Amino acid sequence: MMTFFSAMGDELSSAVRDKAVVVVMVGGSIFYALFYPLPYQPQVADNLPIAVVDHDRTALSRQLTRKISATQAVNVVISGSDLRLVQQKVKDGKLSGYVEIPARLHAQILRGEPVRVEVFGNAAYMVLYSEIAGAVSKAVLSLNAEIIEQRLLAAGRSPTLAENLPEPIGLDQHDLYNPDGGYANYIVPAVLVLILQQTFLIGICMMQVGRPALPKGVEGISKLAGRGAAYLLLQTIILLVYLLMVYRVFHFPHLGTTGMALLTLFPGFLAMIFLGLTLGAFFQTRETALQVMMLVSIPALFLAGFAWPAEVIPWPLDILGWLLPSTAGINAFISVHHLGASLSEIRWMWLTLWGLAALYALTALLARRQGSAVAKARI
Amino acid sequence: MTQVWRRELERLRSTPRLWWLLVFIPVLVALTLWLTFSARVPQNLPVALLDFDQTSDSRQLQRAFAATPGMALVSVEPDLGKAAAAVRRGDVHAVLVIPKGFARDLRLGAQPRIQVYVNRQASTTGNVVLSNVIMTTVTAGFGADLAMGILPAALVDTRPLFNPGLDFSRFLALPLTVAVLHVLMVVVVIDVTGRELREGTAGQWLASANGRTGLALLAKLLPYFAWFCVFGGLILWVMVQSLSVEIRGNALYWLFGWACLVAACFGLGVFLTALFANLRLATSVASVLVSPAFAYSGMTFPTVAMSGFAAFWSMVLPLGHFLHFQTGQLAMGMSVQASLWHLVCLLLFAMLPILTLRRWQRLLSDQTLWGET
Repeated sequence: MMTFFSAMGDELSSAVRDKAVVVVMVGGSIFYALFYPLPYQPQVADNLPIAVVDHDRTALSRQLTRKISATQAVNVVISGSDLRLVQQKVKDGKLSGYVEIPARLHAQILRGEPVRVEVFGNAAYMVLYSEIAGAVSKAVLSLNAEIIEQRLLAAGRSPTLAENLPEPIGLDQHDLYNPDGGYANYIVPAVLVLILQQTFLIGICMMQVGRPALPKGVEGISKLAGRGAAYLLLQTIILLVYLLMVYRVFHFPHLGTTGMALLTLFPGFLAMIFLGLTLGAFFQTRETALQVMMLVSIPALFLAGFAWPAEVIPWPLDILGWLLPSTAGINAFISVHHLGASLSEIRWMWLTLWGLAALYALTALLARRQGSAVAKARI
Repeated sequence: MTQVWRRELERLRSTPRLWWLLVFIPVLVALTLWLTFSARVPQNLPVALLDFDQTSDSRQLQRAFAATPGMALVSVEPDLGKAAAAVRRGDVHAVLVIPKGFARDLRLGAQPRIQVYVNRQASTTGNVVLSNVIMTTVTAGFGADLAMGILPAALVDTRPLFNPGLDFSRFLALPLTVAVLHVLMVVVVIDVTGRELREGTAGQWLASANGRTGLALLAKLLPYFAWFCVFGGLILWVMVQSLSVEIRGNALYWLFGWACLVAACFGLGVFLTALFANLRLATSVASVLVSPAFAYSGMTFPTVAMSGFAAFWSMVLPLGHFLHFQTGQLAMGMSVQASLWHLVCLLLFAMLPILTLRRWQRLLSDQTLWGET
């Protein structure tokens, strides 16, 4: 027990006194948490510049243009009939898309023939396309409903029927956990868990470079556990900073409590820390860990199966992803802290984290038994 | 120049770490990202459907939902609480509810309402499911109207420009590979230059260039520059081919743009090494600049919607300039004039080392500045 506490104390004090380690583990983890959400702060992309190419130029086509203009998502900056000019502006990225209203829109409507309005969105940028397609579809459907309602009233149907029949099946959309699908609310919480993993892996690895082998037996185990406990304490403090400060600054909606979030990520932190203590034995120089982790971050985020659905990731990569504590860590944290799940509802993810923690504790012990001998043989 | 090269080749031969950074990691990263997004479009996302009506009409609607490519219906007990738990566990992305009395209300024209509960915490999947649900409901409504002899008045056709299949891998796998390569290039440049300072070999380096600082830097980095232009370009080219992107702009111009990004990354790396004269610190600062660059690039969340500092910062970083240039040239057929300024910005980054030439002179000759860890 003495070994445990003295190892923990030693590790804490040398980590805190090591400028390079503090800069990454404390400075880096807090800086990234405040810096990363900034581009996504508007949450929803509004007022995207589009053009309406009106080949009809009637009161009805102008009414449709007004309906499109009135939506939040788009802003009609050009309305005219010069298709070529508009297409070039879309290619050059000056416009996000355009709507083409066919000639004889009004005439065909009067004759009772269905007309088709085309909306073109820049799908090289997925968000632009889906915002524009969604907004314009809504505007056209609303015009459609108004016209049908008038026709039904003219045909002598009751006002209730005339109102209901244009949209015979209604749809009530309930956005769960993240109203309007805000972008910062979606991506940032997942990334925060990844930031905690990456910055601590770097810091822990840096600390391990050039260290002598652990003593054999119980003493070695308590020493390793003590070192781990030091990082656990630091990582818990940073998580509290995230939950109590970063979440307030950016107003991320969440259903879970701080205590449950800590409990959920507890085995995840252990897994990250022991992974760091394992990997640290393989790096010869301090900056190698930094270099490697900078390259791993992006693939790790997408392998987590959150930003990109796990259902469509090929299984060998999916398995590789689950070896990273961030995968189960992100999913468990999102479920508990954002969707309000209980630990028993996500128990297999939580157990996975415990399993990883046990696995990496073992590898850390084995790797550290060898001391720097292992380090010289690798990389 | 050949002396510098001979010396560099010797260093390269004895540093397996560099081999990893130059050859294996770029291939591994590109392969991982390509495979991750190999499905191209999120398909068959599990959605729970609760049918409280159980009529032929409600089952017909069920079949319509089941037929959409984006979602796959999962059978659950008709219990909202259990369905909600499935959402929390991440087993399903949404819950659809067909209310009791659906068929009766539909026939009476009383507008029965479908309820959809979508997990929008995971925004990509939520959006895919939602657009599938909306489309299916509207189509089913038109069908029901037609059966009553009511024709639609105005229909909308949505046309995705530049990416007809709404293929996510084009706008994720390819730009993300560029993002990781750009981090890698900055890392490598700081590594090969900064290590000379740390290991105190900067004097030999300068001597091999006959004491000329500019030549020492240029000659040392030129082979790496050529390597990333060719090898990185090759990786991206193979990726573009395998994603079957129809190139609407100019492929050569695009590759020239890639060379400009390589130059920008090299410029940034050389600049940072000089500024901090410390391998680790320069890498740390580089990490702050290049690691979050993808978030600021506007590839996912559009640049036009960013505001304040983020809007400014997105125009400063080199990655965003290249990614917009690349999208313009590969997918959109952007004109040369409209894309030129992106290249100018990249070349400004490539010029950065000029500001630090005098500092490099001191760094390479003053032994007291060596050995910083």
